Amino acid sequence: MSDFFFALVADYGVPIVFVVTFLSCLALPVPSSILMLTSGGFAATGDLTLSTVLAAAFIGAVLGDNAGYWIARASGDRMQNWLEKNPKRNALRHKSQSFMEKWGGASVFFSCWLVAPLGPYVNYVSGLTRFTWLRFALWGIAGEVVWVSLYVGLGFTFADNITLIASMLSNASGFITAMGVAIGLGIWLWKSSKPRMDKQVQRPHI
Amino acid sequence: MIDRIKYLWARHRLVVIAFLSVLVIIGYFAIKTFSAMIYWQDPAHKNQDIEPWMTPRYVSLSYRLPPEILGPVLCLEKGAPPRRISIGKIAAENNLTIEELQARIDEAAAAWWAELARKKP
Repeated sequence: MSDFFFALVADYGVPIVFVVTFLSCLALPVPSSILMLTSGGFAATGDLTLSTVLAAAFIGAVLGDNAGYWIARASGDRMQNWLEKNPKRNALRHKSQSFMEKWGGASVFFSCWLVAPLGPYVNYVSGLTRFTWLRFALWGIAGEVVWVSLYVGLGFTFADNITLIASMLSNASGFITAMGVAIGLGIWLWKSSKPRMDKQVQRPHI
Repeated sequence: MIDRIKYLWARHRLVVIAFLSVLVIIGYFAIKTFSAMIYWQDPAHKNQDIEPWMTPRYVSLSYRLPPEILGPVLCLEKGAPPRRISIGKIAAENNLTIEELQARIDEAAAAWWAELARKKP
C-alpha cells in the first residue's frame, strides 16, 4: 500500500505529501512517515525541491492536527449532555481533563513525532477535553517541526536506500510507541491496584 | 504482587488484557527489528531492487549510474530535459515489465562498473 502512495508522489509531486500528512493527523491509515522519507529521497535526487517538501509536509501536518482538534472539540460540545448524564462518563472526562492540564503540552509534543501513531488520538482527546487551543497549537507546531525535519532529513540523507531506512524507522517507531503505551498502562495498573488493596487488607473478613 | 495481579484481574480485566497485548506487540517489533538488521547486514541485499514508485534520478543515485548510461536503459529520449516520472509508468509506456527493466539496469550497471575498473587499474 505504501508503494501506491510513493508512486503518487513520483507522478504528482508535493501536493500528495500535503494531502497525506493532513489525513494522517486525522487517524486515517495513510503511510505519512515513510512517505516523508521517500519525498526527502526525491529531494536528494532533484525530483522535488527540499524546501517545498518540508513546507508541504509541515503545513499539512499542522492543519491536520488543528482540524482533528476542532472536530473533536465541536463534537465534544455537542455531546455535553450525553457525557454529563452518566457519572462514569463524566468522571472519565474530568480525569482526562486534569491529565491534559498537567501533561497536555508534553503529550501533544511527543505524540507528533516520538510516538507518532498516537498523534491523531491525542489531537482528538485535546479537543474533547477543551485543552487550551493556543497551547495545543504551539506544542503541535514544535512537534511537527521535529517530525517533518527528522523524517524528510533522514530520507534526504539516506536517499540511496530508502527501503532500508523505512523498514528501520517503522520498526523503531512501532517499538517505541508500544513501549510508551505499555509504560502508561503499567503505571495506571500499578497505581490503581495499590490503595484499594490496602483497603482490602484492612477490611476484616466476615 | 500476586495479590495485586489477582485484584487487577478481578477489577480491571480489560486493561490487564490490553497491557499483555501491548507486551506481545513490543516483542513483535523487537523481532522484526532484529531480523531486518540481519537482512540488511547481507551485502547481497544492499543494492535496492527497483520498484514502480522510483524515478529515473532515484535509480541513478541508488545504482550510482550516470544519466547518460541510465537514460537509454529506461527508454528515455536522448537530450530531453529531466522530468519526474515513475518507473511503473516507464514500464507501462514501453510495454516492459519491472523485471525486464531490472534486468536491463543490472546489465548496464555491470558493464559500467567493468568499464570503470578497466580505466582505473
